[in-house]
Amino acid sequence: MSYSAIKAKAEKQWDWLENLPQPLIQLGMGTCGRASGADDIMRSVQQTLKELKLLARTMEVGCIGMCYLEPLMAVRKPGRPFIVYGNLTPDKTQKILKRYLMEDDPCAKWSVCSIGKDRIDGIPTFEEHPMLGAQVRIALRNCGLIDPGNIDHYIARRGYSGLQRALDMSPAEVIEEVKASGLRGRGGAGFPTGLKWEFARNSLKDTSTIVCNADEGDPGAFMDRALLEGDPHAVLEGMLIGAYAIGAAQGFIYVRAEYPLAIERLIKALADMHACGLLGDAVLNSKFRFDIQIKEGAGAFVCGEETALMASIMGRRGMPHARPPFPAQSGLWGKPTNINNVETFSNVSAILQNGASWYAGFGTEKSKGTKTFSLAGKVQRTGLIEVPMGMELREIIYSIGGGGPKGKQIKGVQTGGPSGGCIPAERFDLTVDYESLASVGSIMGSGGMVVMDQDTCMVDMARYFLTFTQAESCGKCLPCRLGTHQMLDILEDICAGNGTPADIDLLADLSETVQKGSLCGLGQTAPNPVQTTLRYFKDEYEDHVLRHKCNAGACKPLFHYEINEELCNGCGVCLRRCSTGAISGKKKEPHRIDSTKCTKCGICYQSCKQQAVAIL
Amino acid sequence: MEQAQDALHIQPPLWPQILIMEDEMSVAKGLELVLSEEGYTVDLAMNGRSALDSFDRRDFDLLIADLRLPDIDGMEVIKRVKHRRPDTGVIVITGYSTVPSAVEAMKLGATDYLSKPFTDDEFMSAVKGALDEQKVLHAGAAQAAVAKPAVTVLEPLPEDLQQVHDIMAQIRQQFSGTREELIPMLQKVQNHLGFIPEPALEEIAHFTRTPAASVYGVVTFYEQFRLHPVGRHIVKVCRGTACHVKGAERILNEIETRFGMSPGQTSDDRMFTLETVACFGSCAIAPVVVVDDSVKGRMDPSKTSEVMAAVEPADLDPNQS
Ligand SMILES: Cc1cc2nc3c(=O)[nH]c(=O)nc-3n(C[C@H](O)[C@H](O)[C@H](O)COP(=O)(O)O)c2cc1C
Ligand code: FES
Repeated sequence: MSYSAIKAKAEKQWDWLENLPQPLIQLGMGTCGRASGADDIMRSVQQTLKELKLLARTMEVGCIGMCYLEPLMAVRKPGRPFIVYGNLTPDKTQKILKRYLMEDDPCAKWSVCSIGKDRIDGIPTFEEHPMLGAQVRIALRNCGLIDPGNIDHYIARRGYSGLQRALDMSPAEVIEEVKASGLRGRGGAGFPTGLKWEFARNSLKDTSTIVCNADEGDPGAFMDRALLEGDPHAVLEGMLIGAYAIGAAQGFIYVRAEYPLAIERLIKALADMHACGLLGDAVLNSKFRFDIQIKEGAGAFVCGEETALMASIMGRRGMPHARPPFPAQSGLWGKPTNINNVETFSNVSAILQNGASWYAGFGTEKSKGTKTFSLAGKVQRTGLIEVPMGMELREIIYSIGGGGPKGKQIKGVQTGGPSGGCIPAERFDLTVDYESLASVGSIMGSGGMVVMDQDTCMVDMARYFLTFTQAESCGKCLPCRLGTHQMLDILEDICAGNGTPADIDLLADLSETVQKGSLCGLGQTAPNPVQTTLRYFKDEYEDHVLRHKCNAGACKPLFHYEINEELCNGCGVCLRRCSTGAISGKKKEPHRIDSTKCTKCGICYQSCKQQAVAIL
Repeated sequence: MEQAQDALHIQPPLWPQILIMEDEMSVAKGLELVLSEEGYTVDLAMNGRSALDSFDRRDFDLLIADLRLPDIDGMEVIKRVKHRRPDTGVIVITGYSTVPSAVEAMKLGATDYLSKPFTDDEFMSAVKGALDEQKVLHAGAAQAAVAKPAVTVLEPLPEDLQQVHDIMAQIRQQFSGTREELIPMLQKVQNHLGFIPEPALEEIAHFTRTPAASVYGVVTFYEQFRLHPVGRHIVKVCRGTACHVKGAERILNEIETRFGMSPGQTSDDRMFTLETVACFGSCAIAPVVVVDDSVKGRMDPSKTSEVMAAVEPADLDPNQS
């Protein structure tokens, strides 16, 4: 089919949806939504509509990024904007539908914002919402707004116009366009995408292969999952454009096995593409021939590394190998191979749709465009965001993220996963781009941001990351294998209360040895979490080794819980929730903790509304 | 810096002690060289008897065992060593890479299996894997004192094995038998049975014309694959950064005290198998626990217990096992 034919069909459908004479109810059915009970909400909606004998349409959408409010629902009456409601329960859902659809009460107190042209009294618009307003959504342009299982929705919102534009250009022109946009790879290293494509194209022997890296192994990062679940075609279009540019006829998407919903969405998307003539022997009636296969990962972090990923696709152990040869020279089955990240491809399709100079208008001089981040940990508004490169951390964490949990002080943020570092709150004036994050010893990485507050122990964080890297080290070189092992031993000692001041110096020295002596990226960056915590949170290390105290209440041998009798009002919540029976006390009288029975599980500390449980 | 260099070279008692049991002098010396270059302490035994003698004298963390020896069968040595000191890591190497011996070795608790010839890299990665696994076992053993008994390794049930035939028939229809289909085939078997039984592995090796030992190599490399059956329900606790910050460790402790399982173990009633995962990509609703296929966000220790306790009464489906 030609592009104009599929476009005409898609626009017709979108028009119909836009001008629906009945109410339209959208439900966020991404993994976060489902994990928070979206299925129950869907049932409640259907039941309520039946009870009220109301004709309304329901539609599944992906994640809009406000995961902290899941499950979410958006309701649109004909001729009005959508109203988004969050933190739903089946009961609340029923009330909202009854009141808004039958009595025209928009239930402003339960609403989050409105999406659409007009405004509704008492409800902030999308642009006014503190989490959404400051964002610039390019990679995530459709997430949460379209049905990801419906290719027409994507096409109606200019989808595949970028591909059509690329097909009207020569491959070399497409590469020039991507180069001019300044786009750098979003998988971690930030290598210029256009340049990478040029290498792949130049080493063209016979046919080459293009791979989309959807392994997303960094713990704490979920941008790629949300993107694949919420708008798979944005990624697939980018992949087609890349394939055309480098001259590939075959593509693979390597997806983590932990992402079943993303895989499901991709399977549907590929089938729809075949039906529309977007894959196969003559893509959009051109001479370009291309097909895509899905490869499911099998749970090995190192398979996100490109050479390991290729070994895995070929059915082998996913062991990285030294480069050169680079994948562009000799990759899958010895053929030139180009690997890009999910988000990189989603940006590519936007660039071809809107032009390189439009894209280059966002961001900083060296880091163009936008970056998605997954905001998690001790921050009020957790979720998925996309901001222009160069935004200050402060704005991301306080304005968009809403700061720390009530009454808690934010200590820092961890960026870049196990290869990244911990940035202290005093440095939140830092801007996010590849260079400035590196300047404080962290990295951009794929975009995970885990916020930490006073209840997070930084020594424990360093230990945690080393447990991870030590286990994932492939064992090839001595500094990485034994060095991370020894660093972990020292950190475990410190967390167990057996550390000495000399250990701190030793840790610093070892970090340097491992960093300088390791062969690959994993080992070279493994000390980052230790080095940054040593640099910015040395006092906590000293508390552990000199005073044998863990003030955050994370290292069990170094603290205990006590109830402050003046603050305790004897409500009994802690007593009921304690699973070992360590708490006693009469109702309305101060309670006590029996330290011989206490396992320090922390449930009393977390559940006390009076904050009467103290860490000592 | 100097201090750190020193630290890397202080060896016993910190560094693992390894015994190589191998009758071919050249191979034994070669492996010793690789290991000692990497900083390990290595002893050699040229036959089964002297290997057992060495174990009489002191403990080793890891045994690297050739199966074909001039005196005792290598398998017998492994059995005795494991009997005496169950947490010894074992890597089996052999020129006869037959599946039955690999399977038997795995059953006896071997961590990995290498068939000659292998590269230094493959060897080192197997050694590292075995030592890492041991570390986990040690940690588990320290905590097991408070918990009810849990089982680490379950034996397959006859009905599991009966199903292999049907699954393999499907696989032969669906796949063409190329090497790159290996992982998808293994995934299909595991999706059906929860683990990969030995006969299925053998058939897949045959179908893909891949040496069985390489198929083992792939299965042991990827965390996802299991060689042993699991409980009726699988509980996965995320240990990713966001979940760690929000208290995943407390959830694991709770499961440990309530249900007697540490990660990798199955409760003695075959009800639950506990696993950990590096991140589910649902970090915004951390901490995350996945029970079977259902992802649960914003968990805490007591909610986890509740969810686990509610699993079975709710679906008393007799067919589900
Ligand atoms: C240990 C390790 C893990 C990695 N994991 C990922 C990953 O999960 N996703 C990803 O896109 N890139 C990952 N990378 C980077 C890839 O090797 C590769 O650079 C990237 O996919 C290239 O895509 P880009 O140019 O679009 O960024 C990892 C690298 C290393 C060293
Ligand atoms: S860190 Fe647990 S889901 Fe990502």
